[in-house]
Amino acid sequence: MAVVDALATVALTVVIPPFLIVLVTVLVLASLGKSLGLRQKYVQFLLKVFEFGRQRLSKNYGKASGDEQEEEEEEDQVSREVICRDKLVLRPTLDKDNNEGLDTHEFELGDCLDYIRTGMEAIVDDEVTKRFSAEELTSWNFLTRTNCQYEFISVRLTIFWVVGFILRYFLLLPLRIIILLIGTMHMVTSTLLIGLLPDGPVKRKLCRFIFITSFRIISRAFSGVITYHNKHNMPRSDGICVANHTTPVDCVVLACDNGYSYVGQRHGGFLGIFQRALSRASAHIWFERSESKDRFAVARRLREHVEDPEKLPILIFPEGTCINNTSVMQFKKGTFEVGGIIYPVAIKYDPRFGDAFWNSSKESMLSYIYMMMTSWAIVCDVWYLPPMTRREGESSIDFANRVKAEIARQGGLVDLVWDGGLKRSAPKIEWKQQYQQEFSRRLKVQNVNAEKKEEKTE
Amino acid sequence: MGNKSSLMLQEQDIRDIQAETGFLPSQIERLYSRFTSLDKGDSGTLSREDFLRIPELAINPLGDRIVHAFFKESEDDHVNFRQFVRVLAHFRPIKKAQDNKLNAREEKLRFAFKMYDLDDDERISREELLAVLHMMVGENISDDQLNSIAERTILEADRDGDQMISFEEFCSALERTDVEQKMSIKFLK
Repeated sequence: MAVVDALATVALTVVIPPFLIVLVTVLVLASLGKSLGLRQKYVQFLLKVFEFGRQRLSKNYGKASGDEQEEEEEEDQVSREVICRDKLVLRPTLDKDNNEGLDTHEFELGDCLDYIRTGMEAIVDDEVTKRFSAEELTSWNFLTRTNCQYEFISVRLTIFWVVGFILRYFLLLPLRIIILLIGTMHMVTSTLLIGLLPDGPVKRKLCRFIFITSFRIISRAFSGVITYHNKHNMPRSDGICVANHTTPVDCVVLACDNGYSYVGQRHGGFLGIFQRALSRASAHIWFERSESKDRFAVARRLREHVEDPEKLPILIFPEGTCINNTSVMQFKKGTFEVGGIIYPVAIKYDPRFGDAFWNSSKESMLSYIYMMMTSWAIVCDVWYLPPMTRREGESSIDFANRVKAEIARQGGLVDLVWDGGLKRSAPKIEWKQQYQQEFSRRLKVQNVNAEKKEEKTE
Repeated sequence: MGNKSSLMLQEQDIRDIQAETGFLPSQIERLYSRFTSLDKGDSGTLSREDFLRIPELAINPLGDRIVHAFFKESEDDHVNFRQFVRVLAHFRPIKKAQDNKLNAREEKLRFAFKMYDLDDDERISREELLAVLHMMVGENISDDQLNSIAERTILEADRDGDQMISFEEFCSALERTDVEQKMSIKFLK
């Protein structure tokens, strides 16, 4: 009994007070929107460590391959390209320059060579499939998941890795789990309470405040270091905010600065908890995938929401699926048909601190969260871009592409024409047919039959 | 240098592949990285679906034929890494200093020849030529017109009068084409 008593006292005096301190600090800081600056310093320190590791590695690799030109090696490490692509790259929409200068020629056996080479180039390196898996790093960041046995190269690197491992799994992970639990409970209880209030300006302000606070707590659960640029362009409730999509954490990242109404696929499980909690406090638009095929219903609900100034601005990810943050893929035009102002936002994660991309075909939500919480941190930049509206005579597809180009340019991402849906489904047959048409147009075809028919009828 | 993939590629394998294909070790590692990223089932081999999952290849009019070229050597409809690299080696640019059997002009021509010659009888028949033409034009040209194109092509290339194109006739037909440039991919170091 005495032992149990002793243990209990120890628990109460040693474990509970720090826990309470953490709890109170986190809540207070998150509500005020202030930060102790600890995470920023942590990130700076990590950068120094990575730099050391990189130099170490290039020295060792230089020794191993007997290559004395270290500079050349470093350059190669920076570029991840396998081959140098030629002009003829097959895409879903034909380039306009291919259509010009339609000089027809007679068929030759060598006509297929270009297609063969382009096909081979696509096998070695294509623009699309590498967007659906984690970005490759140019140097190691001391996580086992991104290495190829780097930790056995030198003793110092191994020590770093071991220290990092202990730090991440035994210190940071439990802390982060606690913070995540605090954040979730905070959100669920406060949205429950707010839901009981009558609608009005007070409820709205409180709602926005509570959302921002909850999401700030949750972002601390990933050690999120988020830098916002151009805050004067922040989305207002008279428009729709669009951003490139990498992970559900995008919502958290954006919500730390501004309250949004979300649009998306209804989920079960962990995400479902958040979705239901959020819906209790303010209006959001959750869909079933089967229902979302009815585009008019989507557009109608969006329009109603946008036209209501009482509601928070809508946040939509027009790509429709998670891409790995190296590129921006085709924006679905539905959002851009609604009318109203579009507030583009570009989000770029720094992959050195942890891979933010959620590969939904490979990992479930919970294992993704586990990976997140055992990474170093989530460091990202958010750029608020100036609002855009559709020009006279511009189609919604062109408008969507214009917005996409802006986001890609700001975030330093590759602007792709391809549809993110290719993650799960095959490309449309029409795209191949386009190239068949193009080839046919260039073939000089003799109307042999026409002549024969004429002879017969005469 | 890719991700975990390099673990499974031994030093000896890399040297063997280098001797056989002429690729540099760094290029072989990159290709291995690509191979494993295409191998969704983690089985160490690629199936036809793995190839056709690449959208740019799937919309290529000759996509199916190109994929088929990889499977000619394999018995069980799966391509392992050695076979994968061996096929790609045909597309290495020709460098006079590096004398290698796989990427010589004749080998490149033979690869192109095999695109047409489906039944491997060392001859391109009219049906085989029509099949390729059909793949490249789709439904946009009528069968009769395609027939006349095929006949004309065979007529021009055929020397020994057997109404089919042999490999030698194919090579002379492509004498003036810059095969080295068209059938080469610039692999970066």
